[in-house]
Amino acid sequence: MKQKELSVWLRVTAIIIGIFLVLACIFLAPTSGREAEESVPGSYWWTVISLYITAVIAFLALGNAYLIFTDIGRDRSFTRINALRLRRISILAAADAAIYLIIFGVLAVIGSLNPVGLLIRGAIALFCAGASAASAALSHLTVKAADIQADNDLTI
Amino acid sequence: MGIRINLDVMMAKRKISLTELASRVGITAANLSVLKTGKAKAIRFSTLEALCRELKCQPGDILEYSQEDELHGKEI
Repeated sequence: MKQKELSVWLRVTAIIIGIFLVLACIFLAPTSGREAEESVPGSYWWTVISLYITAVIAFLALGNAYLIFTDIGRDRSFTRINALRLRRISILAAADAAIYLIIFGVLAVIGSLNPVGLLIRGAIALFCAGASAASAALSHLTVKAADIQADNDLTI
Repeated sequence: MGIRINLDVMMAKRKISLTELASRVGITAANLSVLKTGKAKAIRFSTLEALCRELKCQPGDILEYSQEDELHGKEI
C-alpha cells in the first residue's frame, strides 16, 4: 500500500471511529445512566458525565492520531512533533483507563452493575492501558527515528 | 563543529558555480549549498571523491580541522 493510500485509509478509519464515538455518546451513555439509576438512585448524571469525560478524552486522542495520519501522507512520519503527539495519546489513554477503572471499582463495590457491564468496562480499561503502553513505546521509537532521519537528511 | 568546509574557496579558484558543480557531482544544488554553508552533519566518501575529482584537489583542500571552531561550537 502506498503512503498516500495508507494515510487516506487511516484518516477514514479515524473518522469512522469518531462517528461511532458520537453515536455511543448519544445512545449508549444515557442507557448506561438509566441502568445505573435503577441500581443506585441518583447516579444517572454522574454515570453519564463520567462517560462523556472519557469520550472527550478519546476524541482528543483521536484528533492527535488524525494529525499523525495526515503527516504520514505528507512523508513527515518521523518527526519530533509526531513523537509528542504519540506521547499525548499515551497520556490520554492512561487517563481513560484510570477513569474506567475508577468507575469499574465504584460500581463493583456498590454491586450495582451486572457482570456483563463490569466485564465490558474492565475490558475497555485494559484496552486503554495497552494503548497507552504501545503509544509510549512508539513515541520513544519515533524520537529515535526522527533523529536518525535528521542526520540522514544532512548527510551529503 | 571543528571541521570547516572550504568549498567556496575551491569553487572560486576553479571558477565554477554552485549549480554547475552540483550537476557535475550528482547532487542537488540545495544539498551542495547545505555543505558549503557548513550545515551538513556528514559527507559520504562518494560525494567527497566526486568533489575532489571535479575541483581537481585533495580532501584537505576542502576539509579543514580547527580547534578554535570546535571550542567555539562547545561554548555555543
